[in-house]
Amino acid sequence: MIKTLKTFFFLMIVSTQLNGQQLTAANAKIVVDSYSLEKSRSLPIGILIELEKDWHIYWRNPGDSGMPTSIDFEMPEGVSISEIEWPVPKVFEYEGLASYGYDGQILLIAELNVPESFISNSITVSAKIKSLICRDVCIPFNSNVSEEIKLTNAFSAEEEITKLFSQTRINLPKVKNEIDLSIVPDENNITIVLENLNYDLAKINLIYFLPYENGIFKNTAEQNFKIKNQRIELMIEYDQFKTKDLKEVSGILVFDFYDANRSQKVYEIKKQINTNN
Amino acid sequence: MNRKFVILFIIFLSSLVFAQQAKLNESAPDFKLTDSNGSEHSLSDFDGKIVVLEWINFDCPFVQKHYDSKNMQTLQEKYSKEGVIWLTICSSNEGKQGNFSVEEINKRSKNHDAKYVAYLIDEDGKVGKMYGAKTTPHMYIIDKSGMLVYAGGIDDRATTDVDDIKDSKNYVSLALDDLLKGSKVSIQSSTPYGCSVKY
Repeated sequence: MIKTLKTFFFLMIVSTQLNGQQLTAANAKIVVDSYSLEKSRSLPIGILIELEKDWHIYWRNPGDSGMPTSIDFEMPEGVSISEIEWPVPKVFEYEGLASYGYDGQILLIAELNVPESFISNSITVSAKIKSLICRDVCIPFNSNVSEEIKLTNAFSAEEEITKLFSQTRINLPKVKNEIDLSIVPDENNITIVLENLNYDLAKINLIYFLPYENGIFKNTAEQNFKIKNQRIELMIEYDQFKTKDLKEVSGILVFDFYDANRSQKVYEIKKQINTNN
Repeated sequence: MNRKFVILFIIFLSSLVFAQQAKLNESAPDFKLTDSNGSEHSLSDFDGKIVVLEWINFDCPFVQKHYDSKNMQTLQEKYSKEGVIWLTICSSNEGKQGNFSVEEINKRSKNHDAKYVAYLIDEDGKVGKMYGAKTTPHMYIIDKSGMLVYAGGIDDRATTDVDDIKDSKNYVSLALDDLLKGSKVSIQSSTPYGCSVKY
């Protein structure tokens, strides 16, 4: 009997250690930024994912391999949540293949909308995270997390969390309505034509377009562009096995600058393809 | 002088063959690879047959989804009975995930009860790059006339969950069924999903 118990406990410890080893590559939790319910019924909420060195997780479009990270939220009836805002991903390129994602620490922000009737309660928000994390190998990273949020009139988050939310917001794509943008299709590519930009175009190091939809364009950050006067032409090749013809192009346009800070400007674009040519 | 020119010309032509990119509705590029039993196979050995190319890495969780569930083996067996030639190809470079000794390949294949015609070893990645293979699995179908008629994912559920298989749209089945009844393949490409090929 004692021998059986010893074996049982030994196996339990070993299995916990093995599971622990797999799980330590990433962990996730729900975090909430400071809010004031008097000012707004929207609470800034986020999924904070922390990855061990050399591991990465994927953007909404993973690129040539991997799997889009998906988050399914659950919350009490009447409470709703906005779409996640995806920070600008890194491009991981190797041997002609490119993936889009994040390493280190990543915060995926959303807004929780709480009706007045919840003013004196606390609510529990849960999230099911389904994703893939990769290094030289890939493992699924699935995590169920939840957080009880006490609804007080005003809440102050820890400085570290507030700093994380504000740094993340800086790194979100902006919508820039005043760029003159047109898309010109060709047999093997499209050209994004940009005019009337208010930058010193001589300081542009790289420009690339990362699409929201996979399987249409060749995935890479090395895209050819030409600058003439205040006009940029960025050529994006179609994928070798393009899955369909698009009527509209949506995704993010990234400008990398040569300036002292090696800054980036990133814009979300959504544009019909010009078929009049 | 003439001899040098001829040699250079041959080298140039060879490089063109290796650089040849597979394209839908064009002749599938020929290749020759050695299998896990030491036998050589060329694509042209199977002229006149429908051929499936399946890119593999036994340690990739997406490949494991389709092998642990017997989904891949079921497809291999079903369509082999209809005369389809199923070739499994591994382009994992030496030292990278998925690159195994022939003994290990044969052991794993036996354990999985795999029903491919041959497991072809493409260690230097030339054939993978010729076909633009990005993921494991990545599936290609060549019709009886030698034309590439499908390239893409095995199905439309880009996950590692076995549970997603039953409700997914299996593009390989759909394409093979089209071909076997003498029709054109209606869905010729889909976004491939899986681990990156470990070139």
